[in-house]
Formats: sequence, C-alpha cells, structure tokens
Amino acid sequence: MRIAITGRGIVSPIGSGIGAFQEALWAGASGIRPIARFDTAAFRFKQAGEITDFRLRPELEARESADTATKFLLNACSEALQEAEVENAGEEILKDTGVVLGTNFGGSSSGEKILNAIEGEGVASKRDVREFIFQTAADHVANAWSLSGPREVLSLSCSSGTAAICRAAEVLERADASAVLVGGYDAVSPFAWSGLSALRTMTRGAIQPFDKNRSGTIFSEGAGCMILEPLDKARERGATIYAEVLGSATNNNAFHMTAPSKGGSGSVKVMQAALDDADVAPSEVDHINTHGTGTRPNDSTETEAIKTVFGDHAYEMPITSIKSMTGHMMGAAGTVETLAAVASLRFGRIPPTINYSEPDPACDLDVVINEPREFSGDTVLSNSAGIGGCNAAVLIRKGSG
Amino acid sequence: MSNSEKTSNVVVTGVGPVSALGFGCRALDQGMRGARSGIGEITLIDPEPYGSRQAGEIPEFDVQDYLDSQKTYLDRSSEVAFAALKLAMQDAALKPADIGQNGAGIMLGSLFGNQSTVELFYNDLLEKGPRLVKPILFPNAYPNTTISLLAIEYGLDGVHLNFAGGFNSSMAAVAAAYDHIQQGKAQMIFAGGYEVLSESGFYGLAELGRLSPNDGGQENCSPFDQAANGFVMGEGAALFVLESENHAKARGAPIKAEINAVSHRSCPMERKDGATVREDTEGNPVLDAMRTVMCDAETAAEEIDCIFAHADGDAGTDKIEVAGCRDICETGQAAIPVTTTKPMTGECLGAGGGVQLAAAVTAMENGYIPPVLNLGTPGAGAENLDIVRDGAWEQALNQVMVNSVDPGGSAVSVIIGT
Repeated sequence: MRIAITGRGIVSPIGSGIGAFQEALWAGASGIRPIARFDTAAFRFKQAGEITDFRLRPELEARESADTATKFLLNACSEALQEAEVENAGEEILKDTGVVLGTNFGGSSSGEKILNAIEGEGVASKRDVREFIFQTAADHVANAWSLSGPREVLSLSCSSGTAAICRAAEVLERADASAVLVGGYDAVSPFAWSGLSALRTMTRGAIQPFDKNRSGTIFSEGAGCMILEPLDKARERGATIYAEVLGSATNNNAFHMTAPSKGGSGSVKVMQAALDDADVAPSEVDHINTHGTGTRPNDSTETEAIKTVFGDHAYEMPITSIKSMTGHMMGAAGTVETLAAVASLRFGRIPPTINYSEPDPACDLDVVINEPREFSGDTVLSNSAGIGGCNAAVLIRKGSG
Repeated sequence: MSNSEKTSNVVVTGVGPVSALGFGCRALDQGMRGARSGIGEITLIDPEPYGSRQAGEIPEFDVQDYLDSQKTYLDRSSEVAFAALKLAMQDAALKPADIGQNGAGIMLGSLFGNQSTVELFYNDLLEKGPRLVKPILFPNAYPNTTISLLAIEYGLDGVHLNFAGGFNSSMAAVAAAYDHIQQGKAQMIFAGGYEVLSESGFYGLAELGRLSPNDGGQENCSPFDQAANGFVMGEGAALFVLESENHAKARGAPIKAEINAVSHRSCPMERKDGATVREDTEGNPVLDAMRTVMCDAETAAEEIDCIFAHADGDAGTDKIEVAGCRDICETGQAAIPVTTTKPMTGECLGAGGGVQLAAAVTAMENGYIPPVLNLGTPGAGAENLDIVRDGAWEQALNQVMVNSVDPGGSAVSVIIGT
C-alpha cells in the first residue's frame, strides 16, 4: 500500500510549528540552553534542548492538566490535523483514525509524584497516576478529536518515534483505520535527566555529530506528529501530499544493551529491511537524515553501516544530523527527523550539521556541514536507534502536492 | 473495515503462560479445569496503606530454571518474561540455536513494565543524588528493557516492537505480530506480555479506585456478579510463538491454534472539552472490536463456541463488555458461553489479554471451558448472558473469541480457531 503524509506538527527546541521549525533548520539554529525547569545544581550536565516558550493551543484548553510531554504531543497533533484539513473532509475519516505513539518516558514527570509518595514524600493524586500511565496520552489525543481507531503507545527508547511510523503503516495496511495520527513525544524531567546523565553519553560542550572532536549528545524534548493516509484516499479527497512513506522497518541488534553491534550490523539490517519493504534499490536513495547523536561510537558505527548497505553510493549521498541543532529529542527524534527529511524534499534543501569543525576519518561520508545545501533528490532515508539495541528506519519520497 | 488480502495464515505453535496458577500450559490447564484460584494475600509488598490485601501473585520460582546464561541483573518483570519465553520455546519444540540471528522478531506489552527497577533507581537517586546513582539501574529501567534483553539473549534480530500502553498492551502486541506475519514481513515472532506487582503500580491502581473493594465492601474478584467492586491485581506473563503456517509446517511444528482475525477499536470516552461522557457514550469499543473481528474472520455468532471476556470486576469496562456480548448474542441469535479467568489469575493488566489468550488456546486444545469463579448472583446485565459456572464445561471448541479492554476506551478482540 502507498502511504501519504498529509499533515505535520512540531514542538521542538528550535521552533514550534512546522514553519518556524523549517526556518530554524535552514538558519542552522541551536535549541540547546541551560535547563530552567528544575534546579541542576546537583547534576553533572546542565544544558538541554528545553522547550521554554510552550503554551497549550487554545482549542486544547480543557487538557491543561495533561502531563508535560503529553501537552507537547497534543499541540503537535492539533497542528497536524489542522494542516491535513481532516476535519473538513467529513466525519468518516476522523471516526476511523487510529493513534500510534512512540515515547521513551511517557508521563514520567507525573510518575515522579508516585515514586515520591511511596518513599513517604507527599501523595500522588488520581491525576498524577492517570497522566503517568502511557496509554493516557493516546486517550487524550483520541478524545480531543473523537477518534475511534486503534490506540497504541510504543516505547523503544530513542527509536520510538520511527517505530511508531512503521507500526502505523501496518495498521493502515490491515485497513483497521482510515488514517493514523503518528506522534513521537518526550519531556525532560528530573527523573529522566538523572538517568540520562548516568548513561555517560552526554557532553558538556556542543553536539558535534561526525566531527573528530565529538564528545557526546545532549538530550532534549518536544513532539513530532504526522497524519498518514492511504495515498489513493488522500488523493481522492484532494489532500496535500507532503511526502510518501515508501517503506519502514524495526529490529534489534540482539547484541548488547548499550554498546553498538560490530560494524553496525543491526543498523545495516534495518536499513536493508526498510529498502526491501519499499522495494527500492540502495542506489535510488538520495540522502540520509541520520541518527547522528554526536557520541563517539554512534557516529562512526552508523557511518560504517551506511557504507555496508550502500557501497560506493554511500559517498555520493549527502547525510546530515539535525540533532546538532535540536538536541536528541528521544521519543520525538524519529518523527521530527522524518519531518526534517520531508522539508528537504519539499524545499530542495538539506539542513546542516552544525558545530562541525574537524573531519573524522572514521566518519568520512559527505556530511552537510554548517550551512544548508541545495538538493534535487526525491528519496530520503531516516535512521533511528536506541538503548537496548533498538533500530528503526523509514524511507520517504517526494509528494505530489 | 475489511482485511487486506491475506498473504499468510498465522498460527500459534508455542504458548508460555506464567500466572498465579503456575508455570506452563500444564499448570494453567490443571488450574482451570480444577476451578482453582491463585489469588491470595499479598506477600511482595506491604499492602497496609492501600485497603486491598489480595493479589494473584506468581508462585515462588527460581529464575535459574528458565535461564540459558547467567545474568548480573534481572528484575522480577524480566524474570517472568524470560520464564514465559523459555516455556513458549519448549512448547513450540524450538531450541535457542533454532531462533538466533535468523530474523525472528519479538513484540511485547506491559502496563507498568520495569517499574520495580524504576523504584530502585529513584530510591538510589533520592539517597545519593544524581551523580552517584548506580549506573546499572537506569538502562534496566526503560520500558523496553525486558524486550531488548530477550532479543539479546536469544538473538532475536528481527522486528522489535514494545507496547507500553494500558490494559491492552499484550493483545496489541499479538495483534501487531499477526499483522506483520500475515502481511508477509516475518515468518516467526515471539509475542505477548508481562506484568508484575510493584509498590508504585499498586499505589496507582489503588489511587484510581480500580482495586476491589472500591465500595468499602468485601474484597473479591467477582466479575459478572452484582457485588463486583473492582478487580484484584494479578501478576502474569504469556509469550506465544507465532509463525506463518508455511513456516510452521516446513519445520514440522505442532500447530496449537490459528489466529483467524484481530481487531483493535476505540471510542471517545469523554467529550472534546475533557468532560466524561462514559455513561451516555454512544460508541462501545468492545462491541465495535467484536463486530469487526467477526467480520474479518468471516464468522457468525453461532460459529463462536466461547468468549473469553476481559471481565475483571471493574464496573466501567465490564458494563460495556457485557452490553457488547449481549448485542453479539442477540443479533446473531446465539447463546455463546461467556467466561473469564480473572478470578483465577487476577487482572494481569498489560499481560491480561495474553494470559487469557493462553487460557483460550489451552482450553481449546483440551476441549473444555473454564468456569467463572466467585459468581453468586449475576448482575449488571450479565444475568442475560450464558455465563460458564459451577465447574468446567466439557465441550469441543473450534472457534473462540478473546477480548482485552482498556478503561480509557479501547478494546482488542482476537478470534482463534483450530
């Protein structure tokens, strides 16, 4: 089945709303700033891609009590539905729309209240419990727009957002929904920050993907949403086709919880599986929006994996990592990066990998450094990976609208 | 909604159930046939603050019996999932060497997941501060820790999806695995879910008023009864080996059941402005899921031999499910026997659907329907259903429906056949 992306919504540290986000991409903006939400005195890492100017959209006023991460998601969903003009397309589409979400930590900001309560620190309310349970985010979305399709919440660490796109494609394939609202979302909380700091993957400097001096990633937050519909149905109703999802895949390295597999074998297999799913040859891929976290092992391993899949063609394709700008948006990374790839196809421009100063022989592909680059291709691959050895990849093609 | 063209039939070749009734299919079979409940006084946490004292805890076990290699750290949720996977493998006549690095996938679901490790991590954080937390804990506190540990242990390098939603999680995983195999994208997937008791999980359920007794009455798991007053939590895990029929036949695997269709539907349970509309909502997600799954399986009500209902004693979900079952029976002019294993195992939350699916496969293999325990006077519409009671009903089962319902307003229905 051919699948269309007909709506997009973004809440990100470099800008919220698809227009602002794209402007920031071309400007090479950075969303990394000192954390303001909580006191970082006791933490080793004090900067994040924190969303500072957030306000719940007026139409969502009744959901003010939702968890922080869920509110990011709701705003992005609202924008995506508006852009897809689904509400104008008749009740039928909305009624059978499914919700497939991806997140690392879901409502953990609310869950902290329960963790405190069992340690004898205060009490957790019904609201706290409800907002902690991951399914509640899907319920909020479905209730806010009266959707009756399947509601699924995936959690596959930092590959969650891309995994949600994969799963949504299958839901459409089974014809269990007329459309699927896909959302990746996460928020920075003291709980998450303590853990992420302990992983020793972060830097106190800048995120420098593929740079010889890269010293780690910086986690961030936000949400990315898209509406997926069968291409023929989307055309029938005259929807704008922002891009087409050609194929996707998830898998696991089946090797180690935190270390990359040798030669990036899991990443190799997931890219190949996405190409197979799309029935697209490696030589047809024009650009890769990489996972590119800026950690030493990720970027060299991902480079190696790309070379294994694409051979000599690997050197002919520009690659980039928008994490250099947005930070690592965890569960939102996959959907937001796919939307950056959509922007590349629409505007014929690849966003830069900023903070780049020195080439690394172990990362010797054609990285788009520091300035955006004009681009005329029509097929882009987006990669994601996460703790536990999770991988996901999605292949998209230029839309007709 | 209709199925897109089927490319593969999806069969169940192995079942690994873990619940208060014990480990493996035989224990589950004996418990169900013997109409035994595994529910008892809680031992794993101090239930004193919560007003509910019972749970269907998994009987004491030694995880070493189910491990193929030594582990430095496994929490209880991973332990039960490892056990369930090992049991499913054995049941499917598979050895570790058969499944490693050859594209087999895994899909799991859980509501609270690895919450016990989250608690340990948080406790460490409160005591020592963020710079001195034990580094091993956080990677074990991710919602996907268990599924990824299993993939690493057994070389499951294929499709990898973890459902961390609500009560439907394990059934959503089974449904997704069905889709994936049916669409020809994989030949073999381990699918199911797990759930264990944790302090914070129990706190949450109590705070939400879901645990029996939520009316100040007697604590009991008594779905379909007029005195039902919430559910009793259960621990459990169920893993299934799902394969394309061709793959199963080629390796000479025992085929225990076929999955005929799955459906996942939902209905808004509140208005757009956030106000609750449960009482007057027109949509019924359980009925919708049951109708859709029957349509996809191309089956009529009279061809369904039994419904394994989600029914756990929760007033909200039981009410819409009972209404859905009545509608299916009345519309199809069939008296379908309805049962639930929740009074035996407790409500296993994210693993609940999986444990009931394991019960359904086991019952189908052995030709009986397990009874609903603790049923005195049927109430809330159940008096008009053909509830299985007073011991197991001996009966050949050719086609069985299994429901899993989330109180937020979504439902998964699965139809399995011989």
